[in-house]
Order: sequence, then C-alpha cells, then structure tokens
Amino acid sequence: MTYVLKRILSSVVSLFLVAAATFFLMNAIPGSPFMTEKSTPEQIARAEAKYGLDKPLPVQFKNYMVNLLKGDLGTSLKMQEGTEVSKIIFHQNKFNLSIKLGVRALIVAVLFGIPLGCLAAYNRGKWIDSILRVVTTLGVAIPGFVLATLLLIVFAVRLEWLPVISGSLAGWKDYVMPVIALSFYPGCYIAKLTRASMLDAINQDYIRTARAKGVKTPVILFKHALRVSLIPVITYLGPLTAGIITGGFVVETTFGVPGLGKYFISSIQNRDYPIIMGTTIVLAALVIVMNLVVDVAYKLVDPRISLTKGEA
Amino acid sequence: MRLFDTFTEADFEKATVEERASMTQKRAAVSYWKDAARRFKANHVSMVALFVVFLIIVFTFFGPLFIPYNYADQYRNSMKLAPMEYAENEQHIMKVLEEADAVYASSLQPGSMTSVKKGDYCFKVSGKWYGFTAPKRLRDAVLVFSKNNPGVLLALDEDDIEAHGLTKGTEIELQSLSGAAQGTRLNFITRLTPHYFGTDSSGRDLMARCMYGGRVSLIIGVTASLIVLVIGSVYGSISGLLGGRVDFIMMRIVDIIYSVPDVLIVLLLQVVLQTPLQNWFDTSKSAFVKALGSLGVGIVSIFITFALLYWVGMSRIIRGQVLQLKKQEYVTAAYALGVPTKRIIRRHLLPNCVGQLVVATCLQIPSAIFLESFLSFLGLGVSAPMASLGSLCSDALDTIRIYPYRLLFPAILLTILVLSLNLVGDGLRDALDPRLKK
Repeated sequence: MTYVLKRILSSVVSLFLVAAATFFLMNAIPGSPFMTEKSTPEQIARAEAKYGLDKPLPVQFKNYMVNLLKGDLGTSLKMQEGTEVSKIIFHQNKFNLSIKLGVRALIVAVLFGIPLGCLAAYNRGKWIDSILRVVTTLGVAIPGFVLATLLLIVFAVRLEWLPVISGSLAGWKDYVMPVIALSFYPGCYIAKLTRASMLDAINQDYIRTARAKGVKTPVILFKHALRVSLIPVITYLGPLTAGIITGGFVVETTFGVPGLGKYFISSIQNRDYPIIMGTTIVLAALVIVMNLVVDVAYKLVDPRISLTKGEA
Repeated sequence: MRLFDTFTEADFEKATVEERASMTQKRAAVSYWKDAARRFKANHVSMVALFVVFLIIVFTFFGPLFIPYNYADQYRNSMKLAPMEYAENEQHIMKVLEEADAVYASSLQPGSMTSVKKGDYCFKVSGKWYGFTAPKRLRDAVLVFSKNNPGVLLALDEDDIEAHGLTKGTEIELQSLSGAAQGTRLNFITRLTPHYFGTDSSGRDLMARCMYGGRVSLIIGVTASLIVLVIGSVYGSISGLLGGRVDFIMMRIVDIIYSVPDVLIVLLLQVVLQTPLQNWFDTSKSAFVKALGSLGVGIVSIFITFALLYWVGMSRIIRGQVLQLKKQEYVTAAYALGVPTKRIIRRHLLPNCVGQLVVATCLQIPSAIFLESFLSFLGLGVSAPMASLGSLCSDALDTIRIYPYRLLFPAILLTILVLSLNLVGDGLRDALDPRLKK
C-alpha cells in the first residue's frame, strides 16, 4: 500500500507543479489582459483591482490555490465575463463533448489495436502481417491534422456522406470522422505494441511447455500469451490519454467541435487567465490521474512485480 | 588410421613457416560498429528509408539551387497557380516562342514582366554581348530574339499583341557589342521554369517553400534532438552513476516532469516566450544571439520547450543503461584493479551507451518534427514568410476546398520524412542492439 500512497503523493506534487508553472508562465506574458486599444490606464487598473490582479504575484497564487482547494476555479475575465470557470468547463458541454470524443476514440483504438496486433503476430510473415505493418507504420507517421483534413475533404466535401462541421455531436454521423482521426494514431501504435509483445511472449518457455502439452494454438495465444502481452499496452494507456487530449485540440479545430481543446487555445490567445488555469488543471488532472491508475493497475495485474517493495 | 609403426622420421619434423601460415585462419576483427553497419545494410527497409531521407535532404538543401524562385518572394504574375503551371507572362512567352519563330523570348526575371524604359540596354546571349536603344517606354513587354531576323529584337507590348498578334511588335535594331557592356543590363532568361507545385494566394512558389519548409523542419528536428541528447544523457548518467539518494531524488523529478501533460505547457510557453525572446534578439549585440534571432521566435521557443520538457525520456534510457553496466563484472574488475573512475567512464560506460544514445536521438528527430508541425498547425511556431512543413499545411487549410494540392505537397513530404526517419531509427535500433544478434 505504501507504493500506492507514494504514487498518489507524487501525483499531487505533479498537479501542483503544473498549476504553479501555468500560473507563473501565464503571468509572464507581458501586458495586462485588460489592455485594448481604447482602454485607459485607469480603466485597466480598476479592472485589475476588481479581479485581484493588482496584488503581488505570490499573493495571487496563494489565493488561487486556496480557492482551488475549495473547488473554486475563479471567474472568467473576458471571454464570458463574470461566469464561473467551473460552469464554463463543466456545464456548457465543453468538457462533455471532449470527453465523449476522447472516450470513444480510446475505445476504438483499443478495440481495433489489440486484435489487429494479435492477428499480425498470429500470421507473422504472411501477407496479412505485411499489410498491417505497412498500415500501422504509416499510421504513426501521418500527422493528425493531415489525416483529419483528408477525411474532411474526401467524406464531407467530395462525397458529401458526412457533415463538414460536426458541431455538438448530435448524431452518429458527427462522430465518425473525429473519432477515426483521433483514434488512428493510438490504434496503430497499440497494434504495433501488441504484435511486438505477443511475439516476445510466444518465444517464452511456458508457451513452449503449453505447446508440448498439446494445448491448441488459439488457446495458447489468447489465454497464455495475450495476458502477458497486454501489460505494455496497459502502460501505454497513460500517454495515450495525453495523446488523445493533444489530438483533441487538432480534431476539434478541424471539425468545428466546440470542445475544451478548442476553447483552451482561444483562451490562451485571449489571455483569459482563470480559463487558462482552469482548463490546464482539469486536463492535467485527467492525465495525471490516468497515469496513476495505470501505474497502480499495472502493478496489480502483473504478479511478477511485488507491491510491497515499492520500486520495481 | 595409421598405426604407430607406420610413422616415419619425416612426420615429426617441425612445420615450415608457410605450412603454419596455411593452418591458421585469419579474419579481420569485426568491430561493434562494423558489425552494426553490416546488420543495418542487410535490413532493406531501413536502407531504402535512409536513401529517402538522403533524397529529402538533397531536395531541401540543394533543390533551391535549381529553381529560379525564392521561398519569400511574391511573384506578381503567378498568383494561385496550379501545379506545373507557368506564370501568366511566361505562358505568354511560350506562345511567342512557338508562334513567332523566336529563339529567345524573355522577361527580366521570373514572374515579372519586362518594363523597358527609353534608353540603352545590353544583354548577353550565348556568350556574346548585344545592345540596343529602346525608342520608347515599353510596358509589360516580351522581348523576342528572332531566328529569322537576327539583327532585330522584337519588343511585343501588350497593346501590340492585342492589335497585331504575335508577329508585329516594335522592331529594335540590335548591335553586336564587343568587350564591356553599355547601358542597363538585361538578364535574358532562356529557360522557363513552371511552378511545379503551384503557387499560393500571394504568388509565392510552393516548391521553393516546401524546400525551405523541409529544411526548417529538419533543422528543428535535429537541433531539438541534440538538445535532448545533451541534457538527457548528462542528467541520466549522473543519476545512474551516483546512485543512492541522489539518483532517487533526480528520478522523482523526472517522474514528475514525465507525468506533466507536455502539450499544455508547450502551448503556454510558445505564447509566453514570444515577447521576451523578441526583446532579447532586438537588444543583444552578440553574434550568437543574432543568429538565433534570425531563426525566429517560434523556432527558438520550440528549442527551449524541448530543453525544458523532453529530455526526461532520454535521461531514463541512459540511467537504465548506466545502472545495468555499472553492475557488470568487468566494471567491478576495473574498479578492483584501481582504474580511475574517469577512465572507467571513458572506456567502459560511454562506448556501451553510444548505441542507445544514437537510437534514442534518431527517434527523437521525427517526434520533434511532429511537435513543430502540430504547433504550427495551431498557429504557433513559425510565421510567414518563414515556413515549415507544418505551417505550410496549416496555411493550406484556409483554401483547402479550392486548392487541395496546396496541402498535398507539404503533407506528403512531411509524412514521408517522418515515416522514413522512423524506419531508419527502427533499423538502427535493430542494428545497434547486440542482444538482437542472430
């Protein structure tokens, strides 16, 4: 249990560091968020005083962190003046949309990646393996935005099968392209990973023993080999979450989905401090928690690693 | 089998030098690197990928020498051209060349019409100088050097062509000049180059931009990887070598940075660094900073991002390797023999890490190019007139429905580049890892 506690502690430290880094970086952007062509220095000063931006930075930071612990992410300065950030993120469907897309992409990536990886390993050296290798190698080399745009041109503009703007993801048609674009890279990566670790596992002694005992090949593959080969895939789920968030920025921009990723980028451009902070913290927390869960799950799943020792 | 009694005296004579030489098999010692090179060469996929990378390097670095267009120039007559199209005035010139039986017809420089004022001009064709005096101002003219009438230069004004077709223009007497040229020099361009990849909305040549963008992307990839290599390997090897509490603390720092979602910080950094970097470039007098400044704020902040966040993966790899090597018997033996640490590092640890370092650095290059293109796509990173493959793709998106080929070329180049770099990296890993030896 000490390992889990340690991991939780270091996750909290990570999150704190992200919050601190974001806060000070954001404030390092020269000028005031209230600066426009028309505003006078007095107006700026008044606006800054209203939101507590006139206080010294460390004090601002302390206030923010105290509020954060109470679950208060502050209120928007500009983009939706006066609205609470937590409301913007959670109640205006932004977080929802991004999560809906992200979870679907994650499921698709895993559901396609693992079986295809097994298939390639099972048919090692045959044409199906070659085809899969070409596809997956290409898949991890095509930038997400290129794939997204290609899909958009072919299926929405030329063939007109799917809507150009997915908007707020009303029907299944809205999901098709964003989910494909978002899950293609991780799916290919998982397939490669599964194939490699499957082949690794097949060469182990216990597989040979099972074969010698006359166990049928599919049983060996799916019962004996797959279990071990899934461990690298599980460890990849942490980076995968981060990757899907990153990909989300691109996909949401390309397909016009008003999700959190798109909003985050415009909040940086608009210098709406509380929104930048809030979004960063929510997304960072998501990734960090995912990493934590994966790490703990990984140790639980693999009996070769003992939890009591901590460092493996 | 011969029995003992059949041996003769001669059988017990010493072997001669030649006989001895013929018995020993001598093979040149195969060093680690030679062995790796052999294995790499046997890997066809990686060899092809390496060749493709080489081609792309030639294309991006030496390609600009072979096309008359510049990545930043906006050619007035060449806006919104499709691939393989010639500039407007050049289409004109080609017509003239066909119909008017001319040897040379040209404008002054690619993409601009010749505006000839009244006065003296000279030009050089096939090593000989010719001169003429323009009787009037000729606006947007095509100058035709006729085959039938070698002594006369035909100046086809736009009005002329409209009124008389391509045969009748203002005829100007040509003079053969010997020695020094007099008057304003005209450069006759005798070979017309189409815009192979077309042009963008401001008349910039896309092929020149792809070459330039590819170069920028490659430079970013290589430099960022070198930064990661230096920081990551130094950090990782210190951590691995010292071990104990130092290692523990250093690795906790790595863990924390590792779990930070990098892209969020990268995006912020890009925005934050803009102004301070620009100020630094503008005020500093050192040549190094000036050189950095010429790269532009976007690229330098990408480097900084890599220096801050991306070295952790590399440091983990190197630490692992050092830890493993440290426990090897020969290292213990070296310690026992009293070999100084410095020498152990130089003789045993470093050479055994080089393979891993090369592989990790090589695989870092495509991921750096990826990150840059991602940032450029979101409108950060490099800005016009500079270009990278990512920014070219992102520029193309605005007009994607009308001019899809504008995305196609940089996107294909980017994909092929990343793909072949990945394959080269994979091949290197297979070649340099002795454990995979068959």
